[in-house]
Amino acid sequence: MFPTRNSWQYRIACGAVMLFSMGAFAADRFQLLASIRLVLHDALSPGRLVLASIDDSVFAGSAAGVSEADSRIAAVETQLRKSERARRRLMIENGRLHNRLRQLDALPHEASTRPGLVGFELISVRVLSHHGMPDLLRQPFIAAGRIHGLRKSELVLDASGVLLDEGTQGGLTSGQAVLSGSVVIGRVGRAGRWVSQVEPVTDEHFTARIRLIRNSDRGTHDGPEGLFEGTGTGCRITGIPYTESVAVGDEVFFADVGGVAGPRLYLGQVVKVDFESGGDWSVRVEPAVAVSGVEQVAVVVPALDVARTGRSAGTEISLHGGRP
Amino acid sequence: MKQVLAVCAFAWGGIAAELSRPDLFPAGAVLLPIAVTGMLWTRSGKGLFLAGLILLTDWIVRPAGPPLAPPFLTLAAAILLERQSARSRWGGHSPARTWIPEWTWPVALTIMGILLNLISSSLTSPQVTESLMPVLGRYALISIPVSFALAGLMGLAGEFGLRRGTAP
Repeated sequence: MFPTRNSWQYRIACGAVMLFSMGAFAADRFQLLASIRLVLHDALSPGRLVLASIDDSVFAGSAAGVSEADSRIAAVETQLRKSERARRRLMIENGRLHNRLRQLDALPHEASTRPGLVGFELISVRVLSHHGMPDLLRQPFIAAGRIHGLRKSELVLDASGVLLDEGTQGGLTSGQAVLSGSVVIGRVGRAGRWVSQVEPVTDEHFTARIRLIRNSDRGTHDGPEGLFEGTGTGCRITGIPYTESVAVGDEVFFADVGGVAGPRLYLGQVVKVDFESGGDWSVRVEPAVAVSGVEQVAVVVPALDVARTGRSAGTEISLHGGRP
Repeated sequence: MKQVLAVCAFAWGGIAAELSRPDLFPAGAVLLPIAVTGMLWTRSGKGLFLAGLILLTDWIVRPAGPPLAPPFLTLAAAILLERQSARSRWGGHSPARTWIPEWTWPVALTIMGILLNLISSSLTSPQVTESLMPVLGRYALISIPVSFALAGLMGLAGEFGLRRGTAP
C-alpha cells in the first residue's frame, strides 16, 4: 500500500509538532520562553478574568461552607503570623532606636518629624501559577500587570504580612503606611498588561541592598549592610568585610525599597557564614517564605505624596520670590 | 478556516477556564478533549498540526515535565486517521482485528492524553504519583464526559452533513 497525499500530510504534521515540542522543551531549559509565556498569559487573561468574575458571583456563598476545624486552624495560623510580624516589627524598632539614639539628637527637629515625600501602597494580588505549574516554573505569575500600575522591579511580598499602619506609634506623624516585618518573596521581573512575572529572591538576577539585624543579650541592634544575591537555588550576601561581625541567626532586612529609605522588609535568616579569601564574609541566607506555597501576594508600589509636593513647590516659589 | 477559528476559540476558552478555576479543572482536563476533537473533526494534516500546536501552547503556559502529550497525541491521531483513510479506500474492509470503534476514538485519545500529562508531571514532581487516584478521579469526572459529549456532537454533525464523512 502506497502512502496517499493525506498520509504525507499527517506525517508532516506529526513531524512538525514533534520538532516544535523538542524545540520548546530545549528553549524552556534555557529560560528562553519567559517572554512568550508572559504574552500567552496576557492573551488568555480577558477570558480568565471574565470567568473568574462570573465564578465569584456564582460561588460567593461557598466560602461559608468551611468546616469548624479548618477555621480553627486558620485562626491559629493567623495568630502565629501576627506574633511573628509583631516580633519582627519590635526587632526593627529596637534596632533602629538603639542605633539612632545618638544621631537623632544631632538632627534638626523639623527634619526628623516631617512625613516622608514618598509613601508606599500595597496592591493585593493572587498568584496565578500556584496550581498546576509552580514546581517547575522558577518565575511564577501573578494576576496583575501594567494596567494595575505595576512596573518592573517592584517588590512582591507575602500577603500574610500585610500592611501595618504604625502611625504615631512608629514615630510617624502622618500615619504613613509602614510595611515593617512583611516578608519579601521576590520582585516583578516582567510586567505584562494583565499579568506579571515574579523574580523570586532565589533567582540569579535578584540583587538588593540589605542590612543585618542581630538579637543579643544586650538587645537588638543594627548590623552591617551588604549585597543580597540570589544564586538560583538559594541566597547569599556578599560585600561584608571581615572587620564586621556576622553570625548565624542574624536576621536579614531590606536596607531600603527601590532606593527610598523607610520600610524595613524581611528577607530571611543567616544560616551559614564562611570567610572568603578576598577578605569578605560569604553569608548563606534561608528565605523566610518559599514562593511555591504562597497563594496571595502584595506588591509594594511607591506613591508620591502629591499634597506635600505641592506645598513644597509653593514654599520654594515664595522663597525665591521673597529674595532680592 | 472556519474550523481552524472554531478550534482556536474553543481551546482559548478551555485554557482560560482551567486557569480561572485550577481547583476545579486540572491542567488539560477541558483542553485535551477539545484538542482531540479538533484533530478528529478536521481529519487533515492542518487540523493535526493546529491541535498539536494548541497542546504545545498549553504546555508553554503551564509547563509540567517534558511536553509528551503534543507529539504523541498527534501521532496517535494520525495513525487512527491514516488507518481509517486506508480502510475507506479499500471498500470499508477492516484491516486489523483489534480495530477501535470510531465513536470511542475521542475518549481513547483523551485518556491517552491524561496519562501522558500525568507521566510528564510525575517526572518533575513526585507529589503527583502520591496523589494519583484523586487526580485521576478529577480528570475522569471532567475530561471523559466532555469527551463523550464532543464525540456525540461530532457524530451528529456527521449525520446532518455538517462534517465531512471521510478523509478526502
